[in-house]
Amino acid sequence: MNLYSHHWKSFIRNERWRRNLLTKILFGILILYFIVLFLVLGLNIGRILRQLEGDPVDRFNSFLLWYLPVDLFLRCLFQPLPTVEILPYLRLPIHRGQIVKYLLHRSLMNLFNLIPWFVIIPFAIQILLPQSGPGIVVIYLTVMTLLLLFNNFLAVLIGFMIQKRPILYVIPFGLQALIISLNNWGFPVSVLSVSFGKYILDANPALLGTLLSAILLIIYATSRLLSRNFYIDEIQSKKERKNFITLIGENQFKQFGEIGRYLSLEISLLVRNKRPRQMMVMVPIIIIYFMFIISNSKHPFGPFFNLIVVTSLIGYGANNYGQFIFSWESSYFDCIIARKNSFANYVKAKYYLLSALSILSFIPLFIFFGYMQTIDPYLICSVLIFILGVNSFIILFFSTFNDGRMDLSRSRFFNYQGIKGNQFMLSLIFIFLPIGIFSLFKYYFNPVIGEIVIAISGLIFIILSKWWIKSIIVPQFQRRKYKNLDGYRNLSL
Amino acid sequence: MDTVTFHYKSAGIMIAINNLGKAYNQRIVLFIHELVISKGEIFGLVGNNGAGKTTLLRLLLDLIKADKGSAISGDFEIATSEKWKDYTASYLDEGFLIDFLTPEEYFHFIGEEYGFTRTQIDGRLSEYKGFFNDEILGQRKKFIREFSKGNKQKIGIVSALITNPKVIILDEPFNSLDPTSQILLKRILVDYNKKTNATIIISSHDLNHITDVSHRIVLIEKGLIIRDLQNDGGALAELESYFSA
Repeated sequence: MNLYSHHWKSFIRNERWRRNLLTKILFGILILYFIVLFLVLGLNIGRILRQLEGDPVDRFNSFLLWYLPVDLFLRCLFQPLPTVEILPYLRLPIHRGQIVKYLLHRSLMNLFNLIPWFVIIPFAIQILLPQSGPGIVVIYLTVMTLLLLFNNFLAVLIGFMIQKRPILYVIPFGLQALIISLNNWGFPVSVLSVSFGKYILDANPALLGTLLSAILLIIYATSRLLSRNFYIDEIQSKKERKNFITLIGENQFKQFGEIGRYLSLEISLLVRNKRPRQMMVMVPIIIIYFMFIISNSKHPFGPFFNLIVVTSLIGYGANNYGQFIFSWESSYFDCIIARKNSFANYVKAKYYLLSALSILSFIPLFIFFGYMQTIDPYLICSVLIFILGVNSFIILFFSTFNDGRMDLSRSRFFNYQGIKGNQFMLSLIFIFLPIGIFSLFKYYFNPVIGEIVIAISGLIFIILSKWWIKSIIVPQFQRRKYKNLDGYRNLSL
Repeated sequence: MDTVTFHYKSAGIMIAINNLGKAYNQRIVLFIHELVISKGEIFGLVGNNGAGKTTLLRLLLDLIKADKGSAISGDFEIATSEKWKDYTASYLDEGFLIDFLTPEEYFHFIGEEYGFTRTQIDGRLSEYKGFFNDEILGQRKKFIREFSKGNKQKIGIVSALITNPKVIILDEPFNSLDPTSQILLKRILVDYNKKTNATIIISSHDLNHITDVSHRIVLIEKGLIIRDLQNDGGALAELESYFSA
């Protein structure tokens, strides 16, 4: 069908994608890495399982109920939703069912459906075949296929539901937290998993039937949900809960003059548009999720792990908002540039917002870790200061390279703008730069020196913020201005 | 540059273009050897699709980089100074609207950029009540993105008028407006020009509208100026004969 070729065309003709070779390479490397990882695991699966205690088939099955929820969780977060720009097709004689079918087919093409087989097939050949014979192998592989399909379509359904109501992000996180709690409250998942595996090997037709009907049910629900979104006014989503979002309006920061005006514009942007709202909802969910995991785990995590968690969580909101700075306003940036304003103040408003996001994340974390006492509270404070100073500078500096257009008024429901590999690399820098510096000084001197060093470097950047915004960020943006504006006007996603 | 500035400075000139050129992928989309727009002139720009109208307007607002030449507004070179922004207002397309604001919030935001208070802005807005036809102001919970195309166009045009500019740049202002609003807009532009002696630069496909309001009409085709006409009666006929040929 045409839809398939159109999708392919929209993919290869994407302006940003073409320009951004680095992104392509990084994605390629990442994909290759996972494939190799699972391939190596798969080729050695026989030897590994035989080295463990007990029956190798049971050993393998004991991981099933661990893997499947994690798989579902990761799919909900990372599995790209099948999308098509449907507006141009609505007036054509293409049946809605066809579009839905296309979307569901499309969803099957992802790594989560490919990678497990690198392990499952070697296991089936090396262990299961000699032990149980070809009949059982066929049944086992069939059930595995159905389980993966179940996860696939469930993730699509949840994904689409999240697009409508970002708060539903709690579903994947809640499921994950539930599994972990079950394990801690005396229902060892590995043991359950072994009996589940035995049940599969019993070749019970009831299991096949249940799985199949569950999949069909999910597909039906997804089609219903999608068909209902085929109306133009739905796509543009006019029905918004306005009371909350108009509350935060123009009067919020009036007393702060020009910067305050830009700040309230920026906040309106975040709360009044679907796309950034989805992103912001994730921030408290992630923070609560990690608090739950840490407080519920039987074995306390090491200090290094705690440090990584603290650093990434304090910076999480700021990084998410920051990596799309200037792209957020791409749809009206001509208006900002063509009019009289102080660009330094415009950037400063963004700097304040970045700081506010970090501080708001910091407060609950500080209280939580103060209560848990797994990490030095002074260290948390130094990390915050570092993030407020150095990370903000890095975020704002690299944001001047953002030249991708982003459409705020549409949700991610039928659109996949803003995927960029180098932004992922940037997040890693944000996390490991403070940790690296701290660890270095801790290793050669002592932790206190490490804390002081990162706190002071952060402080220097905070004190000099006025200077670096005016003398580095703004001129850097001016240099890239025409290129960025050109990118923002480029409608071809 | 200095010589050019000096040359035009005292002569009642608002905008001076000198050898201005823009190319995309080695294809020249605009080349203007010399063009001078006087203070107080309503300057109409006509041409077919792809003639380079929007490119020229964007160059005048420093939204794209010229490959050669320069444009000067008042005493300032547009590409290097930003002072001209103090007295220039513009509306080219929906990319100028901040669509998640309500119209009032947007007008206030724009107005405050130019140093007006909200009361002043509200006062200026009341002059456009008829143009808005009671559909735009006072809707506290309706964001700009929820308005129709025509009303968006009105919001954009008025946002350019309320800051008391000396130079107004509008791209296809008559597009998507209903007939009543088109007539009102023509009156608004002419009145504003008479009252403030502002320079108004507009582009349009519609030869009737443009000849109704402009003092002078420039026709561009494939990036070059083909005709430069004073609008004194014969312009419409000449333009019509050009486009029907």
